[in-house]
Amino acid sequence: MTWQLFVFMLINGLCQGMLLFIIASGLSLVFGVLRVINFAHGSLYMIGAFLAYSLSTILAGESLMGFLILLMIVPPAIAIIGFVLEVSLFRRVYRQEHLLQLLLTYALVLILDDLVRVIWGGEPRSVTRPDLLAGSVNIFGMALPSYNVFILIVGPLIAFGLWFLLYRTRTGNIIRAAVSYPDTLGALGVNVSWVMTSTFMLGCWLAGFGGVLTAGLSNIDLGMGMQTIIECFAVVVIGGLGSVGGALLGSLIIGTGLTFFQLPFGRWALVFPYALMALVLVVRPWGFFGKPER
Amino acid sequence: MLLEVQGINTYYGLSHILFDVSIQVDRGEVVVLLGRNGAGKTTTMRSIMGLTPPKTGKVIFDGKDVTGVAPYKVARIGIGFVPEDRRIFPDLTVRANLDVGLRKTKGKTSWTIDRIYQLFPRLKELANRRGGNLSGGEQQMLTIARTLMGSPDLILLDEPSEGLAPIIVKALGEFIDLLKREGTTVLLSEQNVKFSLKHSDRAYIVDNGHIKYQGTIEELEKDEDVKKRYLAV
Ligand SMILES: Nc1ncnc2c1ncn2[C@@H]1O[C@H](COP(=O)(O)OP(=O)(O)OP(=O)(O)O)[C@@H](O)[C@H]1O
Ligand SMILES: [Mg+2]
Repeated sequence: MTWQLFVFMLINGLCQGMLLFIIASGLSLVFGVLRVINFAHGSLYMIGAFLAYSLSTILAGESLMGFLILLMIVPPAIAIIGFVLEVSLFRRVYRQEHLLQLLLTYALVLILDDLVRVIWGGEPRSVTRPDLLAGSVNIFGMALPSYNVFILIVGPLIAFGLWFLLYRTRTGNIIRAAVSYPDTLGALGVNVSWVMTSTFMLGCWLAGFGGVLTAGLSNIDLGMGMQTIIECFAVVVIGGLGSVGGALLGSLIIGTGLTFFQLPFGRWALVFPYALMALVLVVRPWGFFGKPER
Repeated sequence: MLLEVQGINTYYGLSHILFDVSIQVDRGEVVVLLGRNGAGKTTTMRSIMGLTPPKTGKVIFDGKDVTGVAPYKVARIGIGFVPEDRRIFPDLTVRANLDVGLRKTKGKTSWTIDRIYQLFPRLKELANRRGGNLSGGEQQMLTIARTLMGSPDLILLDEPSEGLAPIIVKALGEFIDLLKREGTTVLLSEQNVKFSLKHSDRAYIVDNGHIKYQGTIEELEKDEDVKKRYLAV
């Protein structure tokens, strides 16, 4: 392997990882506060991608502006869907057993996925990249797709934004307090059910954001939700459920791992996330950044 | 009356825990709820706060019926709750724990972080320490301070002296006296009889979910029979 190939693959891997992080951090955040693993997270991500596709045909968006508009409209739209789901369904199962929660979110996967099939049909779609991001940039004498570089810039910005929100604002303190003792937080005068709703909306916003970015990166199809939720699941198991830092680590490991293993192992590289997940479950079941369950 | 608990019956699932419990607390008073382990002190406070709402009976605060009202609303109306198991948010710094408790109230007694630090200089020194890394005494200080940040008119202190060294219990007593001077009303729950009698105006005794006695501290001090029967003194 030449060093150019190495750097090229590294950048592609990190790009995949960043994309995965944006989606997985939403899943992890929601689990941390609501204590529910939302399997429908992948479906919401897929809806985000398909919404971006539909909107892009209307906006005729080969302009950068059109693409930025997608990024501004679609994630909030997914957050609003999240609002409706949280208030009407999720809220009822927080104090129920895990099996019931699992059934609910799995049922949602089936419903939402079929909804996508009905609305958009089964064909793969894609969003045309805006001209400005369609070409390539020269780094170290290598031509790297500008879109991947764009994701490599946006991903860390999102990560920083999340870190700032969680660790540097009062809202973040309240979210982290809700992770530990929601009842105590409520008795201090904080409307915890609103904290949960908004956290869920933030998680969905992230899923939608990831969906838009993916739509510009590759073809989107009906299988993308399922594939991604499983990858996200591997990410949060590796990093620790509920930990955003862990989601970042897990995503980058899986993103780069997948890319590098594809060269020698081809399709078999897809085994890597699950093998690593199994290993972590054996060695450190609560993940690298997580904490053992109280 | 600032607080009137009128004949409440509270359950955990199917088990009936509180039986027609009535308690009154006047503005500016320090009232203690005495009782052995499992008597129902915590359940009474949780009922008032709305954390475990009573099935029947009423909780009236400042003339408003707050029975069954969500805890966060009860807190905003002016009742502060200091849980006996402290529940310091472990991942938050001491300062952040206090910040989460802050409420802007139109109320009379208004607490700020500076006033809290003045009162508990130790918390200022520990401002950047994680809540999970505090000693028991420091945690007790912080949990009280955190609730005070909401500037409550009535503060429910659930067994604050439990597990604290004598010298810290003494400081706690002085602190309760200070709250009283400042005009904050206090409902205290305790097993430590000596400590409670020293710092309260009136007492209730709860046993097996029933109120068995009520009276002023002077009356209770003289009533050897009651003390022996319910308080194991
Ligand atoms: N979550 C619960 N579920 C079922 N029963 C409970 C629960 N919490 C408390 N109880 C029962 O309710 C009764 C009253 O408990 P409570 O905690 O109010 O007593 P307490 O006076 O605060 O005791 P302590 O001094 O030990 O704190 C006890 O018999 C206890 O076993
Ligand atoms: Mg108790």
